[in-house]
Amino acid sequence: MLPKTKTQAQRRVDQIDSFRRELKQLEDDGVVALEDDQLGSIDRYHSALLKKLTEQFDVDATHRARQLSLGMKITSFLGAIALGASLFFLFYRFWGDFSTVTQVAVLITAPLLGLLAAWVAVWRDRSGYFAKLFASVSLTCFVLDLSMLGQIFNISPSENVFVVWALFAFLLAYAIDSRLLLAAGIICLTGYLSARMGTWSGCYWIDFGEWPENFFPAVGLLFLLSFFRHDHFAGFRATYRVFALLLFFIPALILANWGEGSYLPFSSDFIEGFYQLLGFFASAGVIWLGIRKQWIDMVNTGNVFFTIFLYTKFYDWWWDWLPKYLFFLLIALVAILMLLVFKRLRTCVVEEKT
Amino acid sequence: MKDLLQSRRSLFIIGFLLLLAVNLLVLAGVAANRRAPAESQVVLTERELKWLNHSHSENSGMTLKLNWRVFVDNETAGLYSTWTSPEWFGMEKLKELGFSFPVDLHKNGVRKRKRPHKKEAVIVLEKNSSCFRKSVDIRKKAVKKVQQQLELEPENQELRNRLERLETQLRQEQISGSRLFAVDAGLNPDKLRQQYPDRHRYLLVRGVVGYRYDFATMAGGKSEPRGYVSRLNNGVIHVSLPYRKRLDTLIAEKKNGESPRYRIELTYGQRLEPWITGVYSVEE
Repeated sequence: MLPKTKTQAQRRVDQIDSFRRELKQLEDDGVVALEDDQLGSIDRYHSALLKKLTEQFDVDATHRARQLSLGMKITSFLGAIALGASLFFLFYRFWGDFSTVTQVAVLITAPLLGLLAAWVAVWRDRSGYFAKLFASVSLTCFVLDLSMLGQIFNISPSENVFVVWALFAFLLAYAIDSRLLLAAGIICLTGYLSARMGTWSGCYWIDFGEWPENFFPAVGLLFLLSFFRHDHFAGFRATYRVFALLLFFIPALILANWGEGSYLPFSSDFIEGFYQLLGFFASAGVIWLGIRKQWIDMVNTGNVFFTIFLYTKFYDWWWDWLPKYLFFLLIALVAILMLLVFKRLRTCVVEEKT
Repeated sequence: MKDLLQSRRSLFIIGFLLLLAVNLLVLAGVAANRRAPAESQVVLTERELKWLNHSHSENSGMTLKLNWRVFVDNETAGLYSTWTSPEWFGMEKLKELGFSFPVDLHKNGVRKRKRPHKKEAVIVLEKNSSCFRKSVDIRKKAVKKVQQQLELEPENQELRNRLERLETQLRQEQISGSRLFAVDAGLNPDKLRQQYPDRHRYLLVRGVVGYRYDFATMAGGKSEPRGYVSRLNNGVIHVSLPYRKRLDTLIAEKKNGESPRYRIELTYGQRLEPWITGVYSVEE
């Protein structure tokens, strides 16, 4: 069965490469010796498959090609950011000299042209890098479009702009299989949900960041989205999961040290204690779930935040009264202990996989 | 693969439609705001609409900042005491705006921040308000008081410095102080317009109000919350190209002194969003 996505195709190519190298090693060690016609048959099958996969998915058949692809990914990412920033500042530099009609025409046309360029790139370039570049530029132009229209016509700011940007980013992310644009969409959607939550709680929407619990509704939604099948979109489910965890743990960490930012009708001390305990148990739970479901992204995120919560607690307990050398020695000993624990967890993950 | 490409095409088409629809919606909103009749229209001078100089940055646009104040019955207050709570913004007004105050806000003398303390509201700005005359009178009285003290103690250098400072403040107040004062706030613009019917004197603008605790009224460990106007949503106004050229000429004609160099006709629409409808010299 042929792979459905580029990531699956690349995995298959890597598998073939590993097989070939391992088979040669086994032959050199005298473990196995296949007949010539068997070797020929396998080789012809693999060559035809590699050719098909390269034509269809533009995969990296060699190590050198993989290195160049990595370089292209980084270049594409930096190019998208630089081009977006350039467009922003270009418009700011010259917009004052345009009439209102020209300003509006430029602002509306720019994201449309970017989207058209991305569409053409999808069909003309199988690697996908140019499509991602133009799609990122289109999103940047759309953000600039609504921001500048708001300035030109003195429109009152509204949180609804986030949901529109989120929708566009999601459309682009799914159209060209881009995790960067998915992340942009998630950030915008989170901004909208948190601002709405803030408004329902009685504050001005722009101040939603002052109350970290405003981010919690987005956690549930993103986690739910990660359960949808994303067969053709490599890494999307992990992206949803990681953002859900970040949006839970970062506010929890803030509230574990600043109880005044909570809506809960309790004293600050109680709230801080509550979130500290919640942080510990939740990160442990996330690690357990990650091992069970073989979601390495969850295991890693859970590990990071468990460590952060732990070290924050150590700081609270010991920084003021322990000598500094002893404090750091204790941190180092705990780190060694955690290394042993992570090694054990890693073994569990490997055993679960096999 | 074919299904995937077709679904991609659908996504791109939806993307195009989204871009067009959103922009049309925004422009329709602008048209709705500018539909006649205007909500209010005032002529403000450079005192009330300050030109923001962007020459040091890469921004070629021109914007004006709405300079507004609240009346402060205090001779030592700065010219723009926007953070101070005006007399009309007490507990009653805060409750009218929908703020709630949980009990036991104080515990062991420590204030607990339990509820969001800012929200959006409609602010009433009065042009050539009586607050301005009161503000000038307060400063004149302060100057007179120090002059009388100086007659008794002519060698007192501290009094001389204080007099100089107060005279400067009085001059600034009279020549360049903004005549635009925030005099009320509410949630319903129609109700506010009924209370303040003069559309050429009272502007209704969207802004953010909040409250904080006034330690000056603290007694027995508790303090009374006082409201304040935090900011205006459209406090910075874009100047379109035709008006910008006229404004550039007026600004260039005179050096930036204390007296105003231009007058701007500012119109507010049905959605309380402003735009400039005229630029004139002070003499016109």
